[in-house]
Amino acid sequence: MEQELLPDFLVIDDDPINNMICNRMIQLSLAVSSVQTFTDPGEGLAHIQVKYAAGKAKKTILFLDINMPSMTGWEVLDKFSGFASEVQDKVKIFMLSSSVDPHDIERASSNTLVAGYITKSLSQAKLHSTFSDYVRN
Amino acid sequence: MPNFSKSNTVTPDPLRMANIELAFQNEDRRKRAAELDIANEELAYQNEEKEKRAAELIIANKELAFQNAEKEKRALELVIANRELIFQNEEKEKRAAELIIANRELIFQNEEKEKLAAELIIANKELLFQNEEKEKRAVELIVAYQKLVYQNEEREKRAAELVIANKELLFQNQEKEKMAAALVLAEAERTKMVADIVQRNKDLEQFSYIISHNLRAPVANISGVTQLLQMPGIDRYDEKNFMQDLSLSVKKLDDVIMDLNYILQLKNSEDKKREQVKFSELLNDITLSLSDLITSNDVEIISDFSIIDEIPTLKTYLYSIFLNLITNSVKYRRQDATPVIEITSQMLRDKIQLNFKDNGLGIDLGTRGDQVFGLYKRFHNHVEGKGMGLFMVKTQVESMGGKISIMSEVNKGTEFKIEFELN
Repeated sequence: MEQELLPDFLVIDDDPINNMICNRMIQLSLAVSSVQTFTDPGEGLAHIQVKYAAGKAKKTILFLDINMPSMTGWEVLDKFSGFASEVQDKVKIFMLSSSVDPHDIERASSNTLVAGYITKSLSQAKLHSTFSDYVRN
Repeated sequence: MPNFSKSNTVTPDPLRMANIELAFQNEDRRKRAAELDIANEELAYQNEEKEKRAAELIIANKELAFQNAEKEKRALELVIANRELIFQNEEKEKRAAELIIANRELIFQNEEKEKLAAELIIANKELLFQNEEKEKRAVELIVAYQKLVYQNEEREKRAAELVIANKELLFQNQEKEKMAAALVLAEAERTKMVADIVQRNKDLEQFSYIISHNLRAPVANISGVTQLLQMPGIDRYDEKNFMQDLSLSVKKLDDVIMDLNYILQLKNSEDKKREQVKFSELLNDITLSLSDLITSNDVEIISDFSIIDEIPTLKTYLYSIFLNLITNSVKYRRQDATPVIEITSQMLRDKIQLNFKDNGLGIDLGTRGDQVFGLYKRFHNHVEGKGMGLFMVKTQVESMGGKISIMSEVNKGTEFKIEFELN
């Protein structure tokens, strides 16, 4: 796969083990080095704002957890919906949650900012199907 | 007079001629003077007459002036007299008008009296007629009374029969009341059971949510790490990290299972034995066991149990409630303020209320206030925690039949109110 075609990856999850799994899984599967992880959603959002304010950032896939203490994934989406449309166009959000609760899956699919819902953990197969979803869009 | 001057030829005696002339002239002058004397006398007389007339006129004038003044006085007196008359006339008119009104009133009263007299005559006639009717009715009543006496005797016979029937009904009613009381009890029991079932359903929903979130999380991590372990391209460093994460995740999974087990046991312990517990003693025990935490964070605990200090309760639960709320207040203290925890008790009618108030970070209840007491729900991630403390507190309070509520303001503090019914 061409390196230039590959997007950047962001992970926002309060669980460091999950972040480590995502990081290594993406690096080992796609040979991508640019994976940034945040355990604090506020910091993650601030990073996105700063990165895209510069204007030259690459397209990005964001894996977003739902159940976090300081700010839930839904609250992150609320904040993100207030970002400029150029930022929203560059960042494709996939919910990544351990929850198999149908309410969560329903809620994610009804949110237009959400590109997909992945149940943890992120595997090679899930990553590939996510990526093909991303390329198709 | 003869012209002597022209007769120069005659030579008369000139002096005698002149004397004669002069005598003539003197005589003439004497006559003229006499005439003037007479005229003068006449004029003097006329002047005297005129002066007399003038004096008379002055007197007449004064008389007229006096008469005029008199007339003016009279005129003034007449004006005053006129005004008096006008005023008297007006007064008389008023009186006349009043008399007219008084007259009308008297006429009206007379008419009314006449009407009343006429009505009284009619009423009298009516009374007479009614008296006659009453006499007729009295006769009828006597007849009716005799009938009633007969009927009463019949009724007494029936009443005696009814007394017997009533006793029978009374007995039946008492039986029914016993049945109804039993039904009310059964209904209360049923309502309580329904409430219990609703609560259990909620608990089950919460458990299914916990299983889908919190029990799955470490399992997902285990599954993720094991996949990574099998991937080509990993090195020894990776392997070491993965093994560490694997063991952490397994520990986490075990913790969740232990938590769930503990909570399930809590819920099944409603019939534990209650004992008298003193809040002040309980707080002493806790501050002793937390003395490290309290001194190292410079925590000030202010307590007042002067209103009520003792209730029958489950000591282990109450201990756990105090412990959790106090450690929470210390954990979520504000860095810019000395932590102060106020614990007080008070009576509200048939309830006792415990208040726990701190000056800590507070919680924004606006967005996720309903999740404060939820299991594994956390609001701050700068301090370690499982999100179990407040869930445990609420579960324990409710399993003892109490209620808990929270008020909080970010950067101001948090206050919990716990109510127990005293019975």
